[in-house]
Amino acid sequence: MAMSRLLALGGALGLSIALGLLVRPVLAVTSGAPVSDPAPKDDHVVVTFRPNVGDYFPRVVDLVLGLKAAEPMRMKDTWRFPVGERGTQNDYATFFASLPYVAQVSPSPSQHEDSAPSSSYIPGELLVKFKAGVTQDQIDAFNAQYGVTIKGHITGIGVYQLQLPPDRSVEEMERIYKASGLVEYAEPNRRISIPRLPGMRPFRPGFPGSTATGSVKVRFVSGAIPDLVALVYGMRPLGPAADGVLHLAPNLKTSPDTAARILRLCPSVQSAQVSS
Amino acid sequence: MPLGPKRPGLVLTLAAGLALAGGCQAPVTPPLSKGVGGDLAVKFKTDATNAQREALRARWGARSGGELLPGVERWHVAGGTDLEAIAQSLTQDPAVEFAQPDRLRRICTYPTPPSASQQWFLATQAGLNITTAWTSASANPPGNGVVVAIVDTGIDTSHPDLAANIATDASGNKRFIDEVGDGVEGSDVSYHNKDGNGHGTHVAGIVAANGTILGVAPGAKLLPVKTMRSTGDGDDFTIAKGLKDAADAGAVIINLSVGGPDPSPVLAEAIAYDFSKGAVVVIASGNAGQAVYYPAAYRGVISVGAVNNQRQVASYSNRGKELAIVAPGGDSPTDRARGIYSTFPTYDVVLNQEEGKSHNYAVQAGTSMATPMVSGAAALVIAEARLKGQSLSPEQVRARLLASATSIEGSGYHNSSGYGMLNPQGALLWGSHDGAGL
Repeated sequence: MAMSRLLALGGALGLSIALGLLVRPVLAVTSGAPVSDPAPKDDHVVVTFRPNVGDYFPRVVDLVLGLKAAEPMRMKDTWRFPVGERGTQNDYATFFASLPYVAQVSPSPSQHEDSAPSSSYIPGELLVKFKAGVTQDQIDAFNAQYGVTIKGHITGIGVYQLQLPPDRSVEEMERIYKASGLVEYAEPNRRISIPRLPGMRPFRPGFPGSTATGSVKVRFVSGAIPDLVALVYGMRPLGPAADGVLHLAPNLKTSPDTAARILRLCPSVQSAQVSS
Repeated sequence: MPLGPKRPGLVLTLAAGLALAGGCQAPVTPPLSKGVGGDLAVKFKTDATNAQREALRARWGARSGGELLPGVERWHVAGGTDLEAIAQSLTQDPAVEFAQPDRLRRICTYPTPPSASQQWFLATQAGLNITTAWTSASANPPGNGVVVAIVDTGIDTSHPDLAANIATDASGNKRFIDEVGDGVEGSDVSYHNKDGNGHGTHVAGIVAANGTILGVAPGAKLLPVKTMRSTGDGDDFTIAKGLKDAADAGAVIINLSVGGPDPSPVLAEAIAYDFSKGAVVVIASGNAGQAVYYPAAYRGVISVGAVNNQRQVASYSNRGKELAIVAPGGDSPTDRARGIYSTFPTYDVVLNQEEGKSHNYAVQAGTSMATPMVSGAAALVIAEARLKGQSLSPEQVRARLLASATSIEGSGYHNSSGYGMLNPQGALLWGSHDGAGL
């Protein structure tokens, strides 16, 4: 807790000075000798920071993401980060690639927005097909149990588009519905895109009708320091935090979808959803 | 007795018989010839004797060309004879029920062959060689009346090359299913019932443009089903709804130039629904050079990869055992000689601003462009079958397209080119549509 407060203060004082000064005592515990092996393994991501970032920022990132085991490598400004429990290697690679202070990430994120379509999904929605014979009353009762409402329905194939309550993540509700004996299948409402040719940049957000211009609504766990997370992620807070909720504008290297996805890697984040 | 409205069944039977026997074309086409010299169709009354028949042939200098239909003879008459006059006279004879010239019928307005400089993918041997295919088609124009749903970003229904081919309702109003609307997430208010991106209009032109440029099936009807926003993205629910509504609206071919790496039971469910309604589903395999995307990877779908203007598999084209067929997709989104030139919205859309595309026409490339080539070819096949009174199942259409495909990497199946390169003429001429095992 005290550490968090100190780090929050660090955010207020400026990244390069404050983080170094305030985090130095703690970092002494986690520092290690440079690692010689440059090859990234499945359980690591190797990150080269921009010159002059120094040793402190990587360690702060390490702490904020709850990894606590970053190791400096022989190559200058290069660190090896273990993959945490809150995402895949690709998720963490995506996170590091999004940071303004990072020059290179290995392996490169495979779902980089410049080449592959996003595989993320619409926040707060779940697509569910109930088993044959399940009555509408049963469906309504089951939904009501979790504060879920019906947003859409495709007659003929019997698929429901469900709106989840704000305090429930898609992943959590997917697990709950899949475990129910009433449900044939449940899945996130995934985004799907027009295939772009390799090397072509994605459509720029901001055109009429675009929903890619949204912010990310982040709910933090008790005791977290929202401003510090925003600082580390390079995202701009849209107003002050209230009741543990902060709206963040994604940085220039991420879409709202990706921003929400990588924010969920942070243990201080309870939920992160795109807010249009 | 002259042919007339009191004998519609007989007229239709005779017309069909003439068309089949004489290699003529659809009876809806007006005759090109008044019937001077050539053949006559003569039906004798049931009590007419052989002597009466021979006497009439001798009188008009005709010889029998055999029986067209029960009781209906084909007569060969020397050139320079006025067949209309003979027929008129014959119908007055007590032994004759009716007579008429075997009128020449063929496609009266073949589309002007596409320009190789603009549309290499249609006009050249490296492409689909579509003009040759059209000469094998009876439907006028080729693909006539077959409804193809373009499940995409919408279509500019006012485009001069597309406007006449937009499907209409019973009142003659253009149809447009806008699943995005004020919809699922956010809205596309600036482009309600319009294409706000450009992708869908481009795809639509490849299927059925009929104007300055041409599509593969210039007689097909386009049903716009908008499921993708201006930004080119959509979601499983909206697309599934579009796939389902397209089939309910009567589309017999559903084109989806969209995909992603994640499987989706909902999309699989919607595609199964389309099959149950008798619709052929054609989907792009994807542009990542990786495994075939979903929903193209689902069973029964015609998943389409891309080749360049050398008939080589494009490096970006997704591959794998789910790939069914390849078609021209080009390898340049800017160069007309290497990409796919097609219709584009007549107003400002995202791709005008993002990629500097012009209004009206533009070059694009990818499996998105290869897919509507296959949808167009499917329309040719279905239109042809309809004229022959056949009703083909989605499996049969798929089998015809795959069985007639041209190998480009050696015989047999290949992960990168499927069963080979789309061959519209081969599909039209294919004698069997069993296709077991394809």
